[in-house]
Amino acid sequence: MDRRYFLKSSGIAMASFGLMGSAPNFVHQFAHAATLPNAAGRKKILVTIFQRGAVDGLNMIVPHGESEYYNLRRTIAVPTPNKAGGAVDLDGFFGLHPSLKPLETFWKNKQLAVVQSVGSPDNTRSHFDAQDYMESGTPGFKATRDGWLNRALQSASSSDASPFRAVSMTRQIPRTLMGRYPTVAMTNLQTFAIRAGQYTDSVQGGFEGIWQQEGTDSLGETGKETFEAINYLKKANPSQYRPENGARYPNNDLGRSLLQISQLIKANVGMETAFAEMGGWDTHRGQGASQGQLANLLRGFGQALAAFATDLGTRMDDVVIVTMSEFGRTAGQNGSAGTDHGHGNSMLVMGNSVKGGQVYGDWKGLKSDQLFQGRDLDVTTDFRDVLGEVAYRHIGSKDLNTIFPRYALNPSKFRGFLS
Amino acid sequence: MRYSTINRFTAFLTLLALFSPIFAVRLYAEQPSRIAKHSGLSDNQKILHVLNRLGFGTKPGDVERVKAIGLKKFIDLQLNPGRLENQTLDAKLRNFEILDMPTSEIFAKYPNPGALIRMLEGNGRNDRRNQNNPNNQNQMMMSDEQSEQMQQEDRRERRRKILEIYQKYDLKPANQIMMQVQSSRILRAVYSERQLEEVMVDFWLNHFNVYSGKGATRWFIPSYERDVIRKNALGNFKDLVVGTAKHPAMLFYLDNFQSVADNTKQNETQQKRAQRLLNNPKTKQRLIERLRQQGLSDEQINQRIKQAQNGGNQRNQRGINENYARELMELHTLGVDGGYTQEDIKEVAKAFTGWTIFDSRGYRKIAGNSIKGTEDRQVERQARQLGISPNTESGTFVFVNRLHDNSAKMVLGKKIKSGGMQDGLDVIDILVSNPSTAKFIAKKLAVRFVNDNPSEAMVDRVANVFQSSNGDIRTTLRALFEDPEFFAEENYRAKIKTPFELLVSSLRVLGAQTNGSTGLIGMLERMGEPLYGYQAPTGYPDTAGDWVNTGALLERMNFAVALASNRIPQTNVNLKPFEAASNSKILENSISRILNDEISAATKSMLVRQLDEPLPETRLDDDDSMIDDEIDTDQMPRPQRGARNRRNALREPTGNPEVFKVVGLILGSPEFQRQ
Repeated sequence: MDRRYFLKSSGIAMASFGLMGSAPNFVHQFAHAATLPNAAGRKKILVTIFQRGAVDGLNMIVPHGESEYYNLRRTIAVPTPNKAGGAVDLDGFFGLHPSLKPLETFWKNKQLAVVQSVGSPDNTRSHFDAQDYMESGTPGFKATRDGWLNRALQSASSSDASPFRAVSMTRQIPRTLMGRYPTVAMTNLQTFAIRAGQYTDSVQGGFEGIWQQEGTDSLGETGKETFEAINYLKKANPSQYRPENGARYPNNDLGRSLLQISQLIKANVGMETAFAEMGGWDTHRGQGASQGQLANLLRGFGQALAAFATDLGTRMDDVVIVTMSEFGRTAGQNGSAGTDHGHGNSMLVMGNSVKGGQVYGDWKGLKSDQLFQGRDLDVTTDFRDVLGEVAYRHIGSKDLNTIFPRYALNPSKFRGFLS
Repeated sequence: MRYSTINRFTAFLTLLALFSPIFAVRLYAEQPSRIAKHSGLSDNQKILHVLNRLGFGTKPGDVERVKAIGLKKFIDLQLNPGRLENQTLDAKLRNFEILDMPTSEIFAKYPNPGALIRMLEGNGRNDRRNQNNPNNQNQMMMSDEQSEQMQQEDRRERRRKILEIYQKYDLKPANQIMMQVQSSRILRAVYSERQLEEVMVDFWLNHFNVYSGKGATRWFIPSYERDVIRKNALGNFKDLVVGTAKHPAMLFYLDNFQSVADNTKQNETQQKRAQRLLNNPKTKQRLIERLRQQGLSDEQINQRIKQAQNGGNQRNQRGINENYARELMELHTLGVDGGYTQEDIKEVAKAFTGWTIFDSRGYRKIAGNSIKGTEDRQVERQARQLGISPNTESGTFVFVNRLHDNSAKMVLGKKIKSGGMQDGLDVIDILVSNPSTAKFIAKKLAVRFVNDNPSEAMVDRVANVFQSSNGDIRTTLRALFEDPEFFAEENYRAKIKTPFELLVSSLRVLGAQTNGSTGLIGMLERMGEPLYGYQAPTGYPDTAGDWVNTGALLERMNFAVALASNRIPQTNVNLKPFEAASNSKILENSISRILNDEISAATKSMLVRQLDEPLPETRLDDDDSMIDDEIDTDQMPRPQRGARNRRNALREPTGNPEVFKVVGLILGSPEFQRQ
């Protein structure tokens, strides 16, 4: 068990506590850390983003060099880069949806990589099951209790412990982060507090005092960590936050989540991983091409990612972002100018340590005999190879068999977007 | 390990008892039941232990009531709940019409909005009207704002149409199904005299977990809880397994309703039919034209035709699904180390092919059959194809022999060759009588009722009773409650309450009046235990480590304060009995009523110091009543994941701040998290 932050802080828990607004240890430690921005052992941070509802990967990362793409998608294809509303070319064959234009800079700076034809070996087309499998990291097995990222953190053997090690910007802890490794779920840094109206200060003081008294079992420790976290956030004063480098976050859920994650990163609170999600990708009808429904979603998505990376600037040295979605969508458009549930998809990986400017993964093609079950982009890279590489090379979780049980994963399967 | 303050307290009592003859008399004088012999707990503590473990904590006066009838008699009654009157609860439940409705009626009155839309507009995937809708075709030429505006108008128009239908046919939004189910669960736990029954309902619902957020599952849940779980909560284990195996809630949640034998006649006939139709050039041409109208390319059309000739759309092609078979063994009966193989899973899956749901989306029942559509005829055709009566109730279990794999099966070394539905029943017989099942269930019960790490010896004793009574739950529980370890000192207050247990025990201990309001449902969600909200088939974990985390603990404290200060709408506590002339007396009252005077010296001294803290003057500008949740302005009835959009508004605090502060602090204290 490594959650015993206080025990390591030399028994301060027992020694003293103040009634109102006490928060010395935690704050001092991090205040200290903040004065040493380049202190050795600054944590690697993994940010995972789930696109719930199955994003149409073929319009997110457009295979504009594939003529079949245009045959299959008469009214919803994104035009080639030379045409109006065309894709933003990446490597002569693939391009970004024009709404993802804000990400082009990062591609050019080699901070953004794409893995295409990636997905699950399980062929379910149920959102529910496919998300479940992707988050548990065990396709085909439902009874896995914890999530892959929680297992990855368990195996990453962190040396010190902060209440913000794993943060999910969601109402509840997502399946991805469920498990033994302590995780905080919150939607708003400012309301992560005791809420008692005008009596808040007084009630918080009371609770804090009571829980400081509690022993060193997991209940007592967690109680103390809770107040450390609350007090730290109070001092950090999230309402005063101003993004740097001219970054402008879009006013959507993902934008708000990433902005707050950025705050936590800059505040040096000891965060190792953060989770955020964005919904609305289930575009069965009228999804549009260069513009329209999907274009609007992608714009919000791309702006949020770009703002985050811009805001963090050189701190992106320590950060890797990875995006995922439960499955791709049909290669061809359906009768409602949308796409139905499919198979293979694309994932994005961003960060200064990423070997970006490159599309990873084997492309089979979109001819009917090249498609999975004659209708969907086939999977040539298992999503666990991608997540495994990120866990192994970025946050140092070497025990791949624990992270992805029932799957013989080893570094030779990695696509190599991280060194 | 920390030597808990409570243990220190009881150790102190025991010590005291040794030296004080008077105290010893008080502790041991009655010596009523055989249970007491092994225990160092006082009579009061035993009563509290039983009220906490066999129920959801104490209501005011409970301890005295149990004392009056005797602990043994009380446990007897709890094991035979039919003998207990339940008027208070019955009155509270009268408003929840869904509790008595069969699934087909729920389909009719609380229709699946997705199904309703499909009926109104035709199947979206082949909808020509939609294709011709200029909004879609012109979207590419429009600016973002324009296209967004068009979409918004589309949505508004659709919403208006749907609302009209809801009014015309007096329909109710489907999200009310789970509201009613969740509220009634809270009310039962708080007000039922049959506390053990309620604890076991909670236990079995978690053991045979289903998730309301998966597809149509929610429509089946009222019947699932009522007709399977509640009905057999203290009955026979096998009835639970058979009942859940056959229930649409489980069939849907674990996909068995789609599990069909490979190469069934149905697939073959479909294929032959398609081939016959496509051999007719006229029919073929008509089909091609229609597909062209839908905007498909020639390549796509050729693909579709090829697919049909090869046995239909791949998407609809189904085969054996092993999900239920695996969880039946791993989670419901044998346990993960129960000694089965992947081969067993396959064989069991075969045995359950053809166990399915008729009209799983309730198309037949949409708007009480008032809106007739093509789907309706489709469902009738489906019934004929499956060889079952078209009068079959929507959303009920059917066994379809045509979809069943009738080959002989081998499960755990035993041959199954009955054929038909009996195959599955044979499997259940084999599984429930297996000693691994007895051990698995005994251990799970011991974790629930005794401690997080029950001794092997106790588990074995209970497992033997389970085995010899053929899975009689009442007999097994009795053995557990009479086990010497049940009242062992180290098990007293050794369990951390689940959020549900905390919520209910708080309401009970304060004698709260509630209608099971949505505010409470939201609180449970925030604390991490939305009812019917656990996605994985494992159900919620039942040990402390899994419940205790920073965010969840914070929400427990916030719940405690909100309840004590009467901020939760439609839930009221009356703290008058806690009031007293002096602050210290308020504290004494609270500690006595909520914690039965069992409090650590440290917590107590903290609370004493709290009394001296001045409270802020009343002012109204500091309003956090609208916490962080966006109000759901979209009243259109549609299924929601969990209850994310539920209102979480809190009222202004009311009551005496000196009192509600102390009471809130105690409910949110470490002491009250234990039971």
